[in-house]
Amino acid sequence: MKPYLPKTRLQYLFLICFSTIVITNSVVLIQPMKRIYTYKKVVTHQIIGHQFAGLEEYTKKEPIIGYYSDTDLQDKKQGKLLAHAQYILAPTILDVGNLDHKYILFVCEDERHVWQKMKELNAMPYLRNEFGMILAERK
Amino acid sequence: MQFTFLTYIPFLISICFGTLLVNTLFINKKSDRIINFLLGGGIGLGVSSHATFLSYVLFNQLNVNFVIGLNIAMLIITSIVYVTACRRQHQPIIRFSFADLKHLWPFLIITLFSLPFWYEGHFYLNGGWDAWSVWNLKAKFLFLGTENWKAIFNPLMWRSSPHYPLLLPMINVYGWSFLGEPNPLIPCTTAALLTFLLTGLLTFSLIRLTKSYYAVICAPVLLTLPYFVKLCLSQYADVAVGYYLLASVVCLIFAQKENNKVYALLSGIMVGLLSFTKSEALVAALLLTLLGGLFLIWKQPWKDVKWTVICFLGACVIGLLPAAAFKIFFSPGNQTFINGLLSAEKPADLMRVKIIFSFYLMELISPNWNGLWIVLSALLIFAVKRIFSRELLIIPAFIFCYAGIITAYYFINTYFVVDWWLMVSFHRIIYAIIPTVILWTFYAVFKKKQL
Repeated sequence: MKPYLPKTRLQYLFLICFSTIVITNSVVLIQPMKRIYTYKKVVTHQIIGHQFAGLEEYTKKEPIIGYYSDTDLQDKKQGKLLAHAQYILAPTILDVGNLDHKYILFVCEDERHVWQKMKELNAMPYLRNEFGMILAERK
Repeated sequence: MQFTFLTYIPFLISICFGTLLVNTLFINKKSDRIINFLLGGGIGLGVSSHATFLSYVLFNQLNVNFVIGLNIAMLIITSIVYVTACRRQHQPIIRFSFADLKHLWPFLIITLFSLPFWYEGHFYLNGGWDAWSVWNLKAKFLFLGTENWKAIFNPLMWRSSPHYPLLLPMINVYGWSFLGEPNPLIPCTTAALLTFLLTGLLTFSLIRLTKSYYAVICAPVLLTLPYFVKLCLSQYADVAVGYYLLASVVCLIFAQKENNKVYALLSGIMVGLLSFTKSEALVAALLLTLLGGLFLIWKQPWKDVKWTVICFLGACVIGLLPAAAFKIFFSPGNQTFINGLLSAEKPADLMRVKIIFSFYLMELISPNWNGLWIVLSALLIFAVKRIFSRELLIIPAFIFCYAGIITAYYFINTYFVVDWWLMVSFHRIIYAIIPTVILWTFYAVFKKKQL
């Protein structure tokens, strides 16, 4: 099977357009490559949910735990934090806003809110990690 | 995290038995072995995914020994069947000559242009938002959940779309079964493999259809498009939708062109696998089943195409069974649906229609696609006499019907605010169909005139 030269103007147009797209795309693609090259000087790869790492060892036997946050979960950053928490703690389900569970994960910007809420719920802190994430147990 | 060769073994097993299966089907027929490999890879992954799903159906949890054992058994059985078939047909088991190597050079182009994707994908090992909140999350529940794997269908998990089918999570669970842990290298490799199969199939099917090596330009267009690359390495199911949709259409075109029962069968299998990827892909699969059958029959004497049509429809029906079983016995139904035609609180109105069509236009001319959709639209207009030719009819028929169904769904389901919903979902729908549109455009422009 031999390749043949473009025979029509439309074929030439196709090849010129697609070649132009490839060249311009290749130039645009350099930016994300440069960005990753810079990131790689600090971390080897993307890490998610590091704030919750280790908690899964304590929650893995629980099918569902409560999740409380003093921030607006509609906010993209807080929504991402919730998604990361759910991924790290899987297969435990995080029941957002429902505190009628034995264990509750407090993800708050102000730790005073956590202590206040724990007092209301008669809960005791079970675990607090270095990122300020508190896993509380209700009595 | 350590890379080990063990990461690649499950994929090698799937690709091998898929390719052997396809080669066996073509044992005494003329076929393109490269395309057999590109189709076999997708079939292998899909069958491994279904084998993993079978573990949950039979044992109500992941049985690692069953999954690994079944896949290895499939590899052994397909090897024996292939060798036996070769001996019966007096054909060599390994058909290779150094002259064949010259036909593989497009793979070098694809590999070269895949390097940025590979580099970026191995940095973003956990993928994009919907990877950690939907697809890989489901896979993690399936892998670690034991008898509580059905927690993925719990209404509390509404953010992870529990009604979505499970082809991609099951492929990842299959890979994790070999490693014994939910290692992010597996979903990363799945995404890379599906992208490679997609771009390879696009290139080689166009070379075969048009006899033009200019088809090699199509893969770099996709692999350098930053938006396309981002969606591929994000580890979403949309790359699987794109691949199985393209494979279904390619096999249908070959089946119609050559009145080939094997390609009709393969097309039906691909339609079945497509149905298990996403909910909108299930709709696409049902649509392809209907349109594909009509496409094969259209203006052909029934007695000439009878067995081709039966092979296609039979394979579609069998292939759709796992998705049907999932929908009937496991899926909790779409929890994010409000019928706007009946709802007084959130009615569907004319403004919604205006927003939808305005968004379509804005997305197609968006700089995210670097003018690709504008170029494709212009070329399709210039080639208007050829894009509706007999052998290509399946593509415009599918695209127009699918666009109508998607638009109707965006209009009727008023659960979400429509502009937000379009913003987060529409680009993925058109990302999945872009390889098929490129196939359509290139084939229309480069196909040889009938003498």
